[in-house]
Amino acid sequence: MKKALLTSLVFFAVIICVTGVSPAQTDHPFKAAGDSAHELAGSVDDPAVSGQAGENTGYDEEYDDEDYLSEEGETGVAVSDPLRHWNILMYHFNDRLYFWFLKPISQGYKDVVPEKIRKGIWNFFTNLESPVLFVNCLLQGKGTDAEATFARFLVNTTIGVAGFGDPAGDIPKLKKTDEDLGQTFGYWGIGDGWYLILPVFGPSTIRDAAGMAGDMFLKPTYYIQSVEVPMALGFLETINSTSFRIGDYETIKDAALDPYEALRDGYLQYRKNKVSH
Amino acid sequence: MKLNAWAVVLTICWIGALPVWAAAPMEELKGPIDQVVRILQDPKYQDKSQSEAQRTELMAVINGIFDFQEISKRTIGRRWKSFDQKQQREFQETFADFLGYTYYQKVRDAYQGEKVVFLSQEVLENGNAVVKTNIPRKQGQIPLDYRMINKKEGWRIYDVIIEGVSLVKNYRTQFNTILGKETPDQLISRLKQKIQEQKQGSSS
Repeated sequence: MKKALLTSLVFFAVIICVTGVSPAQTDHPFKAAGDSAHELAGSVDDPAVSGQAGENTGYDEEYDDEDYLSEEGETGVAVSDPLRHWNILMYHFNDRLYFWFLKPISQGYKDVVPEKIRKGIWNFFTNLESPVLFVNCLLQGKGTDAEATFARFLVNTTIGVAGFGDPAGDIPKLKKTDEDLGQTFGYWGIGDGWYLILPVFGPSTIRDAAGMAGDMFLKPTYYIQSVEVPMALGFLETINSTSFRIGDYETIKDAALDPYEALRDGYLQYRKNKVSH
Repeated sequence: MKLNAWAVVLTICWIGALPVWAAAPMEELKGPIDQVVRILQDPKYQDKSQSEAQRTELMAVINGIFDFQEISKRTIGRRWKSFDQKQQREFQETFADFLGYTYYQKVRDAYQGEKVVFLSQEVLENGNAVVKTNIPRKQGQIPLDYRMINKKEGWRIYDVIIEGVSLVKNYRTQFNTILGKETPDQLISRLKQKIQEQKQGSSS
């Protein structure tokens, strides 16, 4: 199993390289992105603009909100979108999937199943994610988080009865981390790659999609010798988690003038923030 | 010469001490946020027919702490210079209205008496500040950061970051796509049309 995992990791790393996503030169992907933005800004004749960008170099990238005058601001987020035609198609596909199927089914489920049970199912699936979190904490050298994840898993699987309860949630030291292979790749300096909307799963990037495929091998459900059972579990997980989030997608869409761009930029910003934590 | 050296030392001390002297951004934010929470919970507004009055009262508080000129400038980015004065003013007013109508409805529907947790504040090298807050929800907490700028009147918000997503940047991406194909006036009329949609949505 270890060998299979390693092989798949290498496999996805190769895919990423082949698809034209070059690993960033520096330790941190967004440092690299920021530097190139400054270079761009520096090439602009307007002294006010280059001056503005020049002041940025000193402080934390996280707060680097002064790029609004740089070239990047002109063209949107620095992640390219050559798959735009496919993405727009998938955007509409997922949009209909949500409004025609996912939303009504989740709403019906929410009306029938009490919140306590839905919460229990949520906890159960969250607990099953532990191997993914644990391995990715290790891959990013976050030893303390890995320990906390492991302890959390033990507590919730035993005292929490197979993960349906979340007693570890009451212990501040065992706070839930949120890591995945896509973030690990980002931590290693691999850039986003192209923006990619996946059918059913939604917004992603080449890097994050590869990460998602790699993480699959760390999910216990992957090792169930059947086709129907993992699919049914995946369906339940989706419906259950959506029942807590009905209205979120509508909010984003409703607040946007260009929902496709809003979702794209929102996803990329959200992931960029996750990678940096 | 000696005098010059002293002047340099004094100036450095003075500049270094400035953020300490100015009122703390978090303190300035707490008042308006408490007011917003109070207006949201006010029993006289629980009936939906009072929503317009509630929105008006909320917007008065919002206008006091948000700097919509700064927000507009940053949302448009480099193209701001290609807007003439009238367009700049009109965009600023319309965008503020748009944000007000859009988020009023969302916040009113989603708010369930959560108490905003103030985590930290940090004054950055460029003189702006970040105030970090949390909103506890059923499925974990939502991190909400406010970016603030020190104006004559005091600290004012120029960006809100929800779970790492900057609203100003998000709208900038959208507006730049639109402005790549359309004129500033067309963008403004798009915003106005969206406000009309929001108004109809909230009354139904």
